[in-house]
Amino acid sequence: MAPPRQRPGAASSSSSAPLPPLSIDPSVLLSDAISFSGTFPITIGANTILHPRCKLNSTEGPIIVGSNCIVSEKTQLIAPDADGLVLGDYVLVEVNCTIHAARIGEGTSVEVGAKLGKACRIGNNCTLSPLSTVPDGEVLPDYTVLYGETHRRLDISNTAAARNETLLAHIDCLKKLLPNKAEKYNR
Amino acid sequence: MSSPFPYIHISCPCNEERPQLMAVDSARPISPTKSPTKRDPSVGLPDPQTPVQRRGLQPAVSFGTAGSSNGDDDENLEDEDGENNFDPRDPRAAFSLFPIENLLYCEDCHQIRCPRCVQDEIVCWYCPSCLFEVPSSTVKSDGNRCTRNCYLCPICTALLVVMPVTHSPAGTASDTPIGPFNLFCSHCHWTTSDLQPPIQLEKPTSISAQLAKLSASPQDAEFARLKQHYAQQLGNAQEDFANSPAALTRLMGLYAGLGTGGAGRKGRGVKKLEMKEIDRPREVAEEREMDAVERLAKAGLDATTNTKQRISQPHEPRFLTELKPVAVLLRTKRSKRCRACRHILVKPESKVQTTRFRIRLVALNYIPSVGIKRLDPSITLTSLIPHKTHRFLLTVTNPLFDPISVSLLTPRFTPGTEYPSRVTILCPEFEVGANTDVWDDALMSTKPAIPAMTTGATSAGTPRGGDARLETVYEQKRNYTSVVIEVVPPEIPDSRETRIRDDRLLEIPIFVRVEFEAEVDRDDDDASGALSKPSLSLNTSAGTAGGAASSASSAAGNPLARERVEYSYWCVVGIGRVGDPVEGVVASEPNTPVRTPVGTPVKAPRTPGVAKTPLRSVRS
Amino acid sequence: MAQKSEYIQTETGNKVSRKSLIIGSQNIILGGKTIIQADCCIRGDLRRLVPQGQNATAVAIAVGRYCFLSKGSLLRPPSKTYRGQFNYYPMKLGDHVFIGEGSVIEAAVIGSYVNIGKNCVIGKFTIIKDCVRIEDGTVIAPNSVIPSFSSVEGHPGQVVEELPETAAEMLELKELYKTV
Repeated sequence: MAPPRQRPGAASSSSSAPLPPLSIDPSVLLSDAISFSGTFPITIGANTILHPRCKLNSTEGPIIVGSNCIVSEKTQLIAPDADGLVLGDYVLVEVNCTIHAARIGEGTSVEVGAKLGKACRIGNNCTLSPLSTVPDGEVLPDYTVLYGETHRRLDISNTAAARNETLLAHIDCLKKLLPNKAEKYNR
Repeated sequence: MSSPFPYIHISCPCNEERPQLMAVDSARPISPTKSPTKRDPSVGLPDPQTPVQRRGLQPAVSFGTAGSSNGDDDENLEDEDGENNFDPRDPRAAFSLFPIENLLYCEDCHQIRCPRCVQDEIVCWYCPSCLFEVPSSTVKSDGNRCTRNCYLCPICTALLVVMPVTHSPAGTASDTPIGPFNLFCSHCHWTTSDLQPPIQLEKPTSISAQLAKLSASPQDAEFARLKQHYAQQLGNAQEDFANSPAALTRLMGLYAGLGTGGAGRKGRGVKKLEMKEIDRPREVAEEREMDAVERLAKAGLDATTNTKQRISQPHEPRFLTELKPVAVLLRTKRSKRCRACRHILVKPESKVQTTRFRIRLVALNYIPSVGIKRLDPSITLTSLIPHKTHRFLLTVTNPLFDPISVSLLTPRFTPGTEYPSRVTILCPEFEVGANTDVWDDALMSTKPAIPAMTTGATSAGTPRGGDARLETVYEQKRNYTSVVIEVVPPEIPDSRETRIRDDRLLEIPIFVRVEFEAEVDRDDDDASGALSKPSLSLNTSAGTAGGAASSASSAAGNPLARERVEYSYWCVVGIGRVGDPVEGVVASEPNTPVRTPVGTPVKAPRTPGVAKTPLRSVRS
Repeated sequence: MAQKSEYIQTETGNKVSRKSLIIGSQNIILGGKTIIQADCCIRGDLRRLVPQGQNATAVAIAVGRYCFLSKGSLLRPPSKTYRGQFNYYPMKLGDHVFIGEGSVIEAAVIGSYVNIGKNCVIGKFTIIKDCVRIEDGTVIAPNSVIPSFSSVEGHPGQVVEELPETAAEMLELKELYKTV
């Protein structure tokens, strides 16, 4: 449904509040109603997909999203401090996440509703299972899996490459399904 | 109890039966409270025959043995003292308190049946994951587990999926994935390749068979060897392991032969089995403790299993690398029988995936149920304010097709605690309409609610200034009626020390007594006709009930007879928790008028015994 | 009046909050008398892609009658790679399905009389049969099957209790529909 009513969030606010400086690769797919706020620059790498209603807040620092990432709806990326938030390549962020981290390594998937505390650092190829939380300032080594309520283990399944490939296929699929509204966010 | 407030639990009479049974055993005079007809002087000439007969129908599990008729003549002495108040905090009570949804109703015993007093019988076994039925013949040999492809992650218990070990790059999509395969947990990313040694499967199907081959441990092998040995020893008794009636008889014969009574049979003789122990019982090579210590030193505590993981595995492995995939445990569909009369109360359809029942006698359809909600939405149930009058609405809903009159009785102060709360039901006697068709309701909507027949109603005009509804029936709709209950919690000193009893938990026992006139069912002359929705069990019950014939004939003489039926039970309303005192709410007389509404018997319910003889039918 | 205008009522009695986000409504079927509260999100746009030439009238999300989607809940069709092809697959909800606040549903099939608590995550391709209760905060792992008359709890969710025979009565939502 393309609602005729006034579009909330970014699109409308972009007219009033100035967008942060955006540096977005032309191959990026930006959906409707993405909220960019803050003053630090936001950089998004090639082939990345942002679902509708995700929020990127660069009030405290810059945000850099790598290439071939997916950021799902209702997810917030908040830069914790002036050092900013860096998402590596091939990062999948599912819906309802709150990401206040300093870094998320390459090939990591953050599943539904995960909460990443302030300035935590997530290694490469980690998996944060649904509703998991990472405390402020925590450092997770590469291949960590957070599962259950509080458990963690090392992923030795050797599926990282497969996951990255699935992610690419996923991005291809989404590019066919989602309309690109990137021009909306050009000032 | 962890249920969120407010909750209402009904006390199953089986709570009372156990001590009763003991009383019978010790030859103490049986409490006259079982007198089925004594209680209600308003009903016409009691006919002791019918009820006594019905009681006689109850087998030994219940208390209703021959003694009950003697009880009729005794005057009910103990009833009036407060001891018979139902105490929800009684340790025994906790076992019999259930929400009404969990209760069944036996049409033959006219009694609530809780999960404790029904008997389960397995209709079928099925795997909760693939939802395939497992024939009962293989259930035992397969260890009650699914033998198809359903395995759980030993680390986190999520379901495992089959994945190719080596990822074939996209684009080279072929219809048949290339092996080898492993089982992969999509929650915690555990795979069977993590095992030491890794388990990898050749094909993505018939996983159980492959796993059995690959993951057999020395213990399993030794067990199989022992089993085989003893099975051979049993020789021709082999079939005893099968589930056949013949095998059962043989087994029974075996035991009978051991007892004194078996002497006569000895001639025909059960062949005496001479068992030989296995020659070389091998001790399965357990890893030596030093190895374990070394591994522990190398891998650290993180590599060890936790209790949950350990106990779900056959040989309680100590290291994560030894955990095997766990086959899914089977689930059952069960029918339920009344323990007292053996009649079926619940019978599900045998197909695994349907949720329908062939027979389903649930209390919800037979027993007027009580509900409670806040009258003042600002009340926080988790911290009720001491000394403040909290008003709640008690709603009695009638599932029956006859109008009922209800009396609610509650002790003035909640029992079983050092800090009793004051409880007043403002209008304890009222009527509830029949559970007629919803359309009837629409048609009758112009008709005023059943005129106030309640005793409380007479006082409606008197003081109270505000809402007269508070003291009378608050609301009356098609098949439910609401009245107001006032609760004044006490101040409870801050006692943080560990106590077994939770003094702040406010539970109100309420005795619900229901009376109604029902048409005599000509088939089996009890209220079940009026009570019941049509069900298959009705016929069978009439057939087997011993007293049915005689009483049916008496009913036939009076075809349109109405009978008065009474039913009662204790329920416990868990209303909330008492909070800390709030400034401004002073310890004073409660807001409730000291005068209780006219005709409100706020004395302790005099007849807890009625709960034991819940239903009596008397010709009126 | 302001209260009343919160919901848009459809011909079949669905009440959809104006504050909900429904994307790809042409791929969504609501059975009638279903309530969708504010901040709900239904991703009908994530439909199944079919090769050209095949019939493309794919339904991404089908919801039965008397369902209730609480505030902030989210329905999202599940996706996976099958035979080398990444795709989204349809999601089907039965009747009388309650979805608690903030829960995210990526199930393949949810039966009738299902109550899902607050802040649950129902993993991709989960199949939930009829008469099931999912407690608050449960995470159900992808590809799980929850059989009838189960109560599920935990991370990942496990069956902790069997529901009584009255489950359908307990979980029906006709009364709830009347309250909105």
